Amino acid sequence: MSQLTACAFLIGLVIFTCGAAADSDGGAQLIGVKSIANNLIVKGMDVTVQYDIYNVGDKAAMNVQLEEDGFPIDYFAVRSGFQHVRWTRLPPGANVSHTLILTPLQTFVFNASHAVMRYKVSDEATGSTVGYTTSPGEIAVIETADYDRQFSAHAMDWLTFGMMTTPSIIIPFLLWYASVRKYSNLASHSSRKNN
Amino acid sequence: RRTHSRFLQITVQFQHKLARVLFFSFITSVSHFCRLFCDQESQASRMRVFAVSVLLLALLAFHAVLAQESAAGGASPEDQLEEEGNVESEGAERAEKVPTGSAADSGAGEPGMASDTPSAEQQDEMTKLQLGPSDKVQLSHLFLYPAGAGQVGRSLDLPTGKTIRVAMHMRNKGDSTFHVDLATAAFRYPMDMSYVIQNFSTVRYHGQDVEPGREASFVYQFNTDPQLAARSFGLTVQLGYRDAEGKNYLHSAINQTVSLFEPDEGFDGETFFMYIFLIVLAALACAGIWYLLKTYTPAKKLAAKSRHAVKSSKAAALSADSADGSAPNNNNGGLSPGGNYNLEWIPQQHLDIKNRRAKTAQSPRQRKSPTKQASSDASD
Repeated sequence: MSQLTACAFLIGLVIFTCGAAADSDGGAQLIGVKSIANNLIVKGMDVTVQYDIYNVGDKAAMNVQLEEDGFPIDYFAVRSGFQHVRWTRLPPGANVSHTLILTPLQTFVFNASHAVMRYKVSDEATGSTVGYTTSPGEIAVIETADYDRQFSAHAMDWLTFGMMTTPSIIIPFLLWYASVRKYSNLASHSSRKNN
Repeated sequence: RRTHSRFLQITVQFQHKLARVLFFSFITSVSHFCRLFCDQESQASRMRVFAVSVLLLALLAFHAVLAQESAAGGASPEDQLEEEGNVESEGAERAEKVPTGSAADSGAGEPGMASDTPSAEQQDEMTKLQLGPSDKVQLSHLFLYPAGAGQVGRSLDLPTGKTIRVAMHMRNKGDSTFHVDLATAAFRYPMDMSYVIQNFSTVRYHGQDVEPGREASFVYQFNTDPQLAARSFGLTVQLGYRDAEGKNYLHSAINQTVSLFEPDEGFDGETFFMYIFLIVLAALACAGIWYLLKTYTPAKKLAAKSRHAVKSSKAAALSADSADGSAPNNNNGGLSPGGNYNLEWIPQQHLDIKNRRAKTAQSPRQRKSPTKQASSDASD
């Protein structure tokens, strides 16, 4: 009987420690990094928002959802990508990335906040864990005219410049050409006469 | 370290003395060459002198550059070592003064520098001032750049001269909301983590709320200086947050020893252009030496050639006169007999020996009038 109770006690201890381990640590831990890939954010041009989710835990994260509600519809138009994404399973040590492409509709200073991740820390977990991604911080959307002033090809400006400088190049050229033709004609006439 | 700095000092002083000696010798040689230059008669010898002086100048400039580089290189590690020594001593002073300050506040009072180990009372004061972690918060981290650093089975090696990015994950296991304020990092002395070698900038998160049961991620990045290569430090990356009551906490997400290494860049523009510069210098030196050899060695041959050319041109002129200029083979294609110069450019009156005025000719000063001279010539 004492042996039986000792065995039972040992088994109970083992189960208890296993359970304790499952409660305190183990399970998935998701790190979400939200970053804006652009150097400049211009009204009317694409903004690329990149989400990277890393699983640094011991177990696979189940039913991973990424919810992005931080870009109001009045200010940003979604060009490509989804704002609510779902992955079935994210194994430990793995990462996934997701891209969202938006177009700002106005010129403003915007506070880009975090996105929300929901996932289950393991298969056996009952409820979802809610996590926040990183926040890119304040982003300033600049006017298209300011961007073009720096980066566009300025084709019309060059054309105008060409047209305005053409007279001061063409007129001396025509004068020279007329003179050359006249004197080369004279020279050829005189050489023909001599010969 | 001390012997190394002494050796550098000695070499730097030697370089300075050598540079001084070379400089004075160069000054004297320049003055000699100036004199020589002015005394030279022919163009060739002047060019010789000029080429030699340019070569010497190049040599001196090269040596001066080397000396400067070694002096700077010798000086900067010296300065670094001296600066580090100063920093260390200053840091030690500061670390020791803190306990004395707090001790003075509490009434113990010790003048000047305290002893090396603070007393138990001073240590209690220090722990009261320091912020610690909250046991309701669980932190973990992941290196985004370099990816995979510090994972199980790999030592934590960070490259120098790069931006290191680390993501921190915070899990709120308590009952109240935490507000995350900042993250900061530091390089510390590996043997004594309370001694800070380099502090990195603090990044503010503006009180991001983490509700109970929720998690949040934070990114922190810092730059490693290229001068810190091949050294190991204790890296601490700490997250600063406060709880609902306003109590501040400073929780280390990373607190381990890292070793810095210099990353191997594929293509280094500096090295590439340095090699090009050295090749060009070598080519310039070779060209100078070749030019010197060309002007110096066949000097006798050239003199002999010119003399021979004059004699043979005289002989050719004589033979042309005697044979009434009907010896086309002797003309040598209009060139001098030695082939050095073109005789066709020389007016014939200079080549005709017979028509040269005799030695008893008058000097032009003694001519009375041109008409008289013409009549006297006609009479001759």
